[in-house]
Amino acid sequence: MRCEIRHTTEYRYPKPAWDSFNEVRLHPSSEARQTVRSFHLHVEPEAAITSHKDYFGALVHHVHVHEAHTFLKIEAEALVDTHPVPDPAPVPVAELRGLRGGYTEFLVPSPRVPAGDWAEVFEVKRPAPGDDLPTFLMDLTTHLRRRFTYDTQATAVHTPLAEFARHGRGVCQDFTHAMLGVARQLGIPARYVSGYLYSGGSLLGAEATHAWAECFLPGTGWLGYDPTNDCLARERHVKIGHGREYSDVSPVRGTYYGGGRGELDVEVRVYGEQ
Amino acid sequence: MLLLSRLAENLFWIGRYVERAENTARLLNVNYSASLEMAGRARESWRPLLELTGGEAQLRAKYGRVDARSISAWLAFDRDNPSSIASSVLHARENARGLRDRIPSEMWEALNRTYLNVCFQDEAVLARDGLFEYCVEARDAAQFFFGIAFATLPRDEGWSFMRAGQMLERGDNMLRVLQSRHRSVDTQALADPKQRALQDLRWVSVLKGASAYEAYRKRVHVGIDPIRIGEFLLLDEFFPRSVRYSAENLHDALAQIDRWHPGAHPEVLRLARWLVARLQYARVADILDEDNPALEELLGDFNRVGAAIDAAFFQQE
Amino acid sequence: MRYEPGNRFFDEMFTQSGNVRPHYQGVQEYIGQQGVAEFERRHRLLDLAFRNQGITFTVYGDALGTERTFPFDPVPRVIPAGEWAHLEAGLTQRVRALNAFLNDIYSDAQILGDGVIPSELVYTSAHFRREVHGVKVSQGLYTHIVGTDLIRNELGEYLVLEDNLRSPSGVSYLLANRQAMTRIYPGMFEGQGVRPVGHYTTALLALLQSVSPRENGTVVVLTPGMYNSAYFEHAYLAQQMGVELVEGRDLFVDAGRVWMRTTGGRQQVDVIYRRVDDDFLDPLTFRPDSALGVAGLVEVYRQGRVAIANAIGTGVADDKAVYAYVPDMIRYYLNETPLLNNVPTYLGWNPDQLEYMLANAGDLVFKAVGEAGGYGMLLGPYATREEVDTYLEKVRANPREFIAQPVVGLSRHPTFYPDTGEFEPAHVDLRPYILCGQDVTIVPGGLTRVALRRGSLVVNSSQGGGSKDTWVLDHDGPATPQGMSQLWHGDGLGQSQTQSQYQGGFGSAPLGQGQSQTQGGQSQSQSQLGGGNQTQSQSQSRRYDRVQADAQDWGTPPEAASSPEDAPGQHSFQQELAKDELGGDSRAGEDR
Repeated sequence: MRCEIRHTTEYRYPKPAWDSFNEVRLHPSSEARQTVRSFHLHVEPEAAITSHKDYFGALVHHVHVHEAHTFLKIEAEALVDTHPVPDPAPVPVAELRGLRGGYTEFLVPSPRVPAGDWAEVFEVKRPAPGDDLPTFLMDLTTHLRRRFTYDTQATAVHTPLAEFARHGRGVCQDFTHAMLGVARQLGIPARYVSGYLYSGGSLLGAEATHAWAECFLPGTGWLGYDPTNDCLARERHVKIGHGREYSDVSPVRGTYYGGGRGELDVEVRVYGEQ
Repeated sequence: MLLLSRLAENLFWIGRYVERAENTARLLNVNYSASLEMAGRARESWRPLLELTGGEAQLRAKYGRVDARSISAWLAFDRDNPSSIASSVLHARENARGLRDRIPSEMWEALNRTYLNVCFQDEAVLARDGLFEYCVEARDAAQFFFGIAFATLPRDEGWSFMRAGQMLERGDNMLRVLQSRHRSVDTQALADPKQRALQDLRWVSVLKGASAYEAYRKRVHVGIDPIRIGEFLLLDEFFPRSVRYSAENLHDALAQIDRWHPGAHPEVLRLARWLVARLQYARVADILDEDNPALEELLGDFNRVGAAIDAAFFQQE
Repeated sequence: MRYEPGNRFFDEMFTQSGNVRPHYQGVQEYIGQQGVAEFERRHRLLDLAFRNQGITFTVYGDALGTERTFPFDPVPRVIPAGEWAHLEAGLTQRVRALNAFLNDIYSDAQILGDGVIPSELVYTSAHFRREVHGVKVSQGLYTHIVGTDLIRNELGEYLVLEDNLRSPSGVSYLLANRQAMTRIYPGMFEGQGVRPVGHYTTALLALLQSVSPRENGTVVVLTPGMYNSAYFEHAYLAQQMGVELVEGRDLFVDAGRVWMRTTGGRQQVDVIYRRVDDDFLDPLTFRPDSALGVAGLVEVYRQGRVAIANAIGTGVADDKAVYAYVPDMIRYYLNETPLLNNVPTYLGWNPDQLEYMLANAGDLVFKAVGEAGGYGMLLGPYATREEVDTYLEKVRANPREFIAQPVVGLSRHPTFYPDTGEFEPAHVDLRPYILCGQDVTIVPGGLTRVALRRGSLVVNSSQGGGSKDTWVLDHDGPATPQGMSQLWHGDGLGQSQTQSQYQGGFGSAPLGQGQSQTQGGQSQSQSQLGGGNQTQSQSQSRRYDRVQADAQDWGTPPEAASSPEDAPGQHSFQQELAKDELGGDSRAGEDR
């Protein structure tokens, strides 16, 4: 599927702001599941833009505006072709035991997904060693979707996972962290993915960046599971990057001086054609 | 040689705050003493002082009354008054803390001791008739501080910034004193001998408040003549607290700074030179009678120099 | 000056039979000649000297700004040449291994791939900074300035208690102590062959300059500011090196470089000796609420246009759990046997060791791996049942975050107590300062900290600790008035025969030098406990007194100053966070 994404972030300040530094993670990843046809980053006012590849392989852009300004716009435009994602091959859960070191990063606790008995907390039945792993993961996705309620007002960026667990109301960030907690506890390497969703209006989380989980299946590799929409991450999911958790992939973060109480406006448009 | 903008700013403000503390202490002392003998006319002797330091509204709000006691407390110890002696010393010390590794330890210790003595007092001082001592202590401490600075601080750029702050504050302060006194001169009342005597007393207070009484008498053999006093305090080139002297020394300090960064900030020097020229060639009659230049304008000139210093050295980038 | 040292603790000056060790004879004689009254008089002079020099610290929270001098005891701690040579070689080995480890961890992590250290320990360390992974540092140096805490156990063996690789402090006290001592007690030094320490700041400056990306680069010292308890040291070092002392707000990033705000305009900065923790260095990359750092600094660092000492991310190697593996690092990277051993350490992360820790809590000292300054500790033998239970709950909840060690009885040293006019033994430790450049340079001696409260093992300054001058002699035996050269090889008074390498000054110690133990002569078994094996160097059943290690920085860690809402503070945001705080569109932004 061909997707065109426009992601616009605008800041308006009542008083001049200066020394604005921004780290932008909006460049879609180049992987087997998608091809990036083009990517452009526009910034108003003129800014110095550099980039580097971060620890998780994402291309990070640095936008720096030194002079005083009352308006800052960062606009990313991307053209991405997503490819069909085949169903995963069956593999028993027990195969996970054979995994060697390279997946430790996505098995250990991280600040927003701390150690805990998440399977118990979210009432997930542990799989038996002989159970089929992809099936289990799909069931888990469904289970979490049914359990949680999508509510944009219930949580904030810093709401701890334990608190979300108590009421189960939140957004894709929370749903994804929950899935990561369960998967990691059960020894399934799992990572947080930030990206876009082409919804054509029917799926939740569109018109914004989206988050889902990727789990590692021996024999298949990393596969995306979207607990917010109870589905695999296939052609409608455009991936930007992955990390241990939200803070590794936050789309735009920055600092600035002055400015007073600024206003933030974000617009995401995802167009698609088969 | 390098000087961080922040440190230059600290030194500049130490100069201003310590000078402010000293000036306020002098003024307060003199006016308090004078007002003791004026009974019903106390208000007149206090008004200008309040105008000088501002804050009558806050004073009234906080103390509920405007009298010798409340004014003294407000100007001396009250930390809610940003221009009180205590506040000035407090700010000076705060600025000095950041400089501890660069100023001689005696300078810091002197300031710190002053802080401990002066900033923790309250109206009890007035109750035990201790205002005179309090003010003298503050004034002496300021002079001691500048004395140590003069003796031990290397004559580098930092020194010039402190001196610039001190001189800016001095000129500014003297202009305000003259402004408030000048406003309250009532030429008509001079006909009446009693009124005349009161006026004279007030002008004597002005002189004493600037530690200028003896110097004036030596220099100007005429009696208490407001015009001559005004001239002395504004334009005398030898009296170290005159406005002209302050402007000249301010200019010298800025010229020194310019030597470290030749030609980098011509605006600063230009404004300082302009101010000096005005004062070198002015006649007191023009200033006091015809408002040409008016005292207000001169005050404005001083402030413009201050703003230019800030923009040039402290605020860039 | 004499007392019965007893046989419970190792005494630095006296042997078990009460004889003075050869390297202390000079000091013994001098003090004996002095007499207590004179000693007391000079003690007061010392305090005055410190005060005049400004070697004081402001007690946190004291609005009056009263300053205290650091308690200082004038009886110097003496280390003979041979002993020092051993320490030097061991420390050199250790820091080389630590630097190799850091290089490895922030690139290919071969040591993890080879399974020498569990990768979980590294990946879950709060100080493992993925943001600087892959950054090339000058000369492969990650940690330039190391403060390693050494203690001496009951048998007189030196053990490493911990390495401090982020912002070790205290060297200014070391320098000030020596200066005060030479002024007040010049006679004590005569003919003793004490090696000088004053080169430290010269060597430090040379080291900092050597890592500059540009030639003749500008070096600055970055301090959190005057409210930090170690501020005196930051200012002192900057002044001694002749470089600027800056705070975060004096710097800014533009055009890919770091600049200083001066009255002459912007000035480029090439090397930052930072005494600010990673977390507060750059609000863009790390804690957004930090007002102590410089926005955009890390990106300049990534691009190689500014050097930072110690480098970002060194904290992963002084994590208390990783500490247990340093001997393995020495073997892995250097192919050598560690010359200095660790204190035996149990890791909560390891299930078998965790079991042992929980079962024997009453005999162990527990530490939280992330904490500094003696916080988060449990002293098993001295805690109540309740305290132990409460603490163990935390351990069970988060075992990776805790380690435990048997209590080690620190060595003792004669210390003057003015209230009794007597010399009594007090517990001491030692923190040498290691400069890691092309060569490794170690100040002879280091800071000896002494627990001044009677019977206490707490050497931490904020809890009644003080310090002593530390002497490294250029010989092993007693001094004679004529000088040292004939005593080059010691005179057979039972000390080790290893040679010191040089007379005056200090230079690098070559690697691979086999050293025999100085006292006791026991070969020490491996201190690190991996794979469930526990080898102990001393019997564990004896009840020892407390030990408490000091912090990274001598005092509480730098606090993040809260910035006011509007300028001159700064705003940070992650997009959603900003959306929460700012007025504006109610449209759901980002991935929420």
